[in-house]
Amino acid sequence: MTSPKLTSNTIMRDRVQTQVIRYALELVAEDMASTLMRTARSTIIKEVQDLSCALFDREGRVIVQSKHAPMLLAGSTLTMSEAMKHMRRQPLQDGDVLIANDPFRGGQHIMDVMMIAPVFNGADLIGYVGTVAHHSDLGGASPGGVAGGLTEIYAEGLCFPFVRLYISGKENADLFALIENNIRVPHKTIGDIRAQAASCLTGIRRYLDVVARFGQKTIDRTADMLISETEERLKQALEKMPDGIFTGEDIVDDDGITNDPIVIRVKIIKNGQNVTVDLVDCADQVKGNINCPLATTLAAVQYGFMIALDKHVTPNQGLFSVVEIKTRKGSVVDPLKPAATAARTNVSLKIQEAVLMALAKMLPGQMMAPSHAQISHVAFVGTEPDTGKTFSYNDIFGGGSGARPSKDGRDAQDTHMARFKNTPTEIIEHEYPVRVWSYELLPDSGGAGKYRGALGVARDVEVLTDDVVFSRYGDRQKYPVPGAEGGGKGMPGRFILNPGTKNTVLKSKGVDLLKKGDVVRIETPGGGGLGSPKDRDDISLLADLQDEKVTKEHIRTNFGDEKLRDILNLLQRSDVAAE
Amino acid sequence: MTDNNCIIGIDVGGTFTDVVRLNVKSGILDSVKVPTDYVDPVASMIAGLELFEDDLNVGIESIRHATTLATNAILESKMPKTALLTTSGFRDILDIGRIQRPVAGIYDFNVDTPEPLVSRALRIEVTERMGPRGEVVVPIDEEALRATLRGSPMADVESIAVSCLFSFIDPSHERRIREIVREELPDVFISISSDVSPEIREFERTSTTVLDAALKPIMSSYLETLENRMAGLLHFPPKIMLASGGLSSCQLAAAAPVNMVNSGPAAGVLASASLGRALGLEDLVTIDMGGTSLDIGLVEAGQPVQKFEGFISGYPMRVPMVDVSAVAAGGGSLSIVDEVGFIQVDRESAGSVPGPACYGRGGTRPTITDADLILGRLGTSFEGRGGFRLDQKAAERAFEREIAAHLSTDVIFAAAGALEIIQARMVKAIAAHTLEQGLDIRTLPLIVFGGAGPTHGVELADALGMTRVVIPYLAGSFSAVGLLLSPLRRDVSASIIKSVKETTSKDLRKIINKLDAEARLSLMDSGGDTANLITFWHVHLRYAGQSYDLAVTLGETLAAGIPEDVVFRLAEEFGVQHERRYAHRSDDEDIEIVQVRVSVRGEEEVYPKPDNIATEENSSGRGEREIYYTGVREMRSARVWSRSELSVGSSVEGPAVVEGAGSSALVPPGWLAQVDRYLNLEINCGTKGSSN
Repeated sequence: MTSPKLTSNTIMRDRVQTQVIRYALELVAEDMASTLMRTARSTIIKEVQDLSCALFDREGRVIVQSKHAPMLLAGSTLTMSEAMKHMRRQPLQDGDVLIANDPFRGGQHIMDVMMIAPVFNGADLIGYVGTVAHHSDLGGASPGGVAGGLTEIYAEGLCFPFVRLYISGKENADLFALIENNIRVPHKTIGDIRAQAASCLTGIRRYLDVVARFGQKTIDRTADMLISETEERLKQALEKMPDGIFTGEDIVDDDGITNDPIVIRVKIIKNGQNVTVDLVDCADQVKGNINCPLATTLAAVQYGFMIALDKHVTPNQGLFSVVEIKTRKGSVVDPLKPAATAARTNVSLKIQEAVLMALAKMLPGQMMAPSHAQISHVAFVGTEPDTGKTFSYNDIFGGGSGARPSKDGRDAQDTHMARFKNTPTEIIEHEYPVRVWSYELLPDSGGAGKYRGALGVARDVEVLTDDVVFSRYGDRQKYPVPGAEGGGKGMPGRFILNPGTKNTVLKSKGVDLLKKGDVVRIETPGGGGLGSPKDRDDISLLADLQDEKVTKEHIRTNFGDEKLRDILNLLQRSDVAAE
Repeated sequence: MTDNNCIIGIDVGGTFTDVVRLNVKSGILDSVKVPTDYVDPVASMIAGLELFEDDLNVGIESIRHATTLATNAILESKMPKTALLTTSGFRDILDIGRIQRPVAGIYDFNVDTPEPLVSRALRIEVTERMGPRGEVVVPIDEEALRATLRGSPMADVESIAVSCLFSFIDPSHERRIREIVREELPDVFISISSDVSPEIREFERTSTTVLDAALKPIMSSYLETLENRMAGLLHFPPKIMLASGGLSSCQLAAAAPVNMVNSGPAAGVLASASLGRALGLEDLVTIDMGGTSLDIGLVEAGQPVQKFEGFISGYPMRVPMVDVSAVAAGGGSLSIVDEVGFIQVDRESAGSVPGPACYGRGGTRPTITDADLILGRLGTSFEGRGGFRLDQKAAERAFEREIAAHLSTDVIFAAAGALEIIQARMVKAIAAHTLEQGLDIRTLPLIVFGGAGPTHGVELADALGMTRVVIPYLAGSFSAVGLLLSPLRRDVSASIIKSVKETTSKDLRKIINKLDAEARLSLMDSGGDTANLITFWHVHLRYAGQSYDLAVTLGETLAAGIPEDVVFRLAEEFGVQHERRYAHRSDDEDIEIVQVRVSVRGEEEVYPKPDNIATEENSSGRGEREIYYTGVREMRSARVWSRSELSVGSSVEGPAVVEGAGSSALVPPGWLAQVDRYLNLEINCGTKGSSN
């Protein structure tokens, strides 16, 4: 007979071992990621780190993932379940590597390529490793997918079903030749593809090291424990929350083809530990390329639950058994082939915002206000006057995040799931015939409230040569970011041609031809305020006025004449004190 | 000159001040440790010096000093009021940054990049603009600038940072602005970006310059006090440690104090490099485990691995520095039982205040040091901990109340669990740091130091698959030892950003020689010994359009001359390096020269080898006690040794513990420790020891 203490110590031992093995497995995933970043060719992988790496057990369940791009995290689970279906029909051998990016079979969009390799311990298939990374060029009608007007996936680049890129450890030369022949800058993309394969090979080796160190049985038991730990965390957090039906809604301005708004509707049905997220009422899929493939939709929902329920959660298969997600085939959040999906961020960030809005109703006072949820991807393409070479200046922009439950939004940053870096002005001007005249916070753009929404940014770009094509994907230019719990709206974004002179407002998604001396002003939206403006403390309001983050006019409009007088009095007193 | 000529190293840390002394003639090192006086750190330095019983006024050849003052000022946001003057239209670059939120904020929306050190109202736009080739697009509006400087917002500003676009190509606008500031506000400190960090990328350059400007009032007054107070004691001013791994005069350090941030950890890696060279180990990994953090470093080809950009408290800082990565794992890391009944060790730290429960200084929660004590890995009293006894009962109470009671287990299991988990976390961090460099860690030796390092080092090595560990003599104050070994050093750089096709070897040679002359001149001006200076130089290259570059050297010092075809040879070497580090090269792509760096250094000090060491008969140790080893996961009866009773050549077989000099070195079962001729403990896996 075992004593209770002994039994308890066995549980304790298991739990300690689970922690130890979790660190060891996370290191495998991180090693895969650092191999990928080290050997890849393009900046988006090396610096922006738009990638994710994961380990799976033999049933294809995600055990651990590297924490890089949240948007890619949840996606690998769906891609893997499709891959498992494929592999049941066509089993893989040791040394095989599958490549896939089909948005209609578990993929994200064309540019996010996933690779999956089986891990064999001798003759036993013990699990899989996988990596997903963003590529800059996979052929198609335009590089990088910024061009407007594309309405079918066929124009967006090479689409891989689950095919073998490596066979028994050797490159599949036919497939490599086909890829090379269909893309613009082959050495870069091929380099990135090889880096992803190298990352898988590293992962296999390190995975086997961990198995050798702890034993297969222990690893299997740990995988179960890690997955149930994640489930347990989410369920415990859910248990404490109120039951009910909570809704959230957000709007995409348009799809760039028509002017129709696209509405995202989220309904969270929560009952004890059971949660269903119903996206059935989201708009139909659209012609423009902003449709959001199912994998990205799932990522957006999972992300919302992770930040709301437990920020310490290990993102793995456990996430999926807790939250059930319902979508409607043919909708903008679960589109059917041949929907175009290159600019899916426009929709996926709104799904995530709508989920957060619904969660905020479930958890009053605990969630942040809505955010800019856009990236304003712009491209200036033309010919270098000196060399006659084509140049293509691509950039993306932060904006205003929502105010938090206990502080203002942090101005001019990227948002939630979308992690990006901008391009420094000195690099831009060094490399392209443009002049950046300003890059600054946009006063008054953040929603007023007890806590202020973060400010958006503005950048003025002058083109220094003729015939420059300016194409872009902006959003939140018609429908501003809402506030929360009585907070004010953020200011919408704009693209303005020749500000101060002609002041032509350009379409959010479109293409225009610029001539030498034209200035484009890019303004991004501000975030939503949180709580009633009348609860904002005077010191913060005064600081905003002193810092020119808000104007007197903004205070008058949102806080009233009396408050403005108070603040101006305070300002006067602090000026006197300074002298 | 007497027989007692010595060099002193003083490392002022957050908790303790370490003073180390090297007798130049005998090569013998000794050390003292005193608590750091926050209000008057110089007082703790003097208190430490006075603990050496000999007459101080004779024999000291030099004093070298590292301080955490600059680091702490930033970490604790205790910075003086600072303004920024910058190109019109770009005052918000500090706010906008690179727009990417920190990794820690991926799933936590309350985590942000830090608020700028300069408020928006004090970020002042100057009407001026240069283009990418240094052409003046808009001249400076000097009258407007003067009017601004006379305005009320500038009234109580203590320091000003100046950062203009493209100043790294042509600094003339920044220099003119500095002249005007000096005329208008003669008492204000000033830093200009073309001096502090003359490199492309305006956010990182501006951030570095603002840090520098904000630190100037603090560090200038500190260094002045230091010089004055030491002047009564010595006839020459102390030398100051920089993050680059070299020493500087007080005057040069005060002129660019951002270089003093994180200089203590750099000294530890430098000491390891020197020790490695003495032992014939060219490549190695270093870990420094203290109360709050684990600092990981690498030495390649006998030199600390350098980097040129780091972060302090989330602010980018772009100066040459020893590449040290810090993880929040130390003796003070707290164990908690989380929401679902797992032990977590990475969420909070007891730091130095209140510290571990067993220190009896107000801490009541269970730390790693408490776990080590409970499991016999630390003795309740041993030399070098400032003399106080550790309270085992307090440690047990903390683990019982906060861990064992929640998990229905006993204190031993709870403490052992916490140790295993923090070690797994440290293993992950060490492996990740070396993997980023593309190294196979298993073939490398591990140099272990810091107060808590020797207690965990061999077990960490074991888990990492490493087979050789060196615990230096004075492991508890090894960063201070590094100060003794650091050369005088001055780093300067220039930006080029041109294709190798557009750069002639002649031009490049001219730039390198000019930088060399500039660095030597400033060393000479600040009273350094310029007799045996050596110039190292390297050039950063990249494939055109890439955002990352590689520092390439041709492996020779400037004394060997610069080859006629230097540009061609650098481009070739770049290809080789790129392939080695990134697994590919592409000869059809254009290569750009980005940055030229020159580092002028004094001679490397040789690691001291003590002579005349009495070879005592080995005693049999101080008896035995039960010690928990994480590798075997159980308590073993281990022999207890005092470091002072082990002489050169003597060996200790695990399971054992060697106590002394501010740390407690665990020798796990299956490992053999031997005292080498430098008095280090060399600990090897397997029964065969090294032949030293």
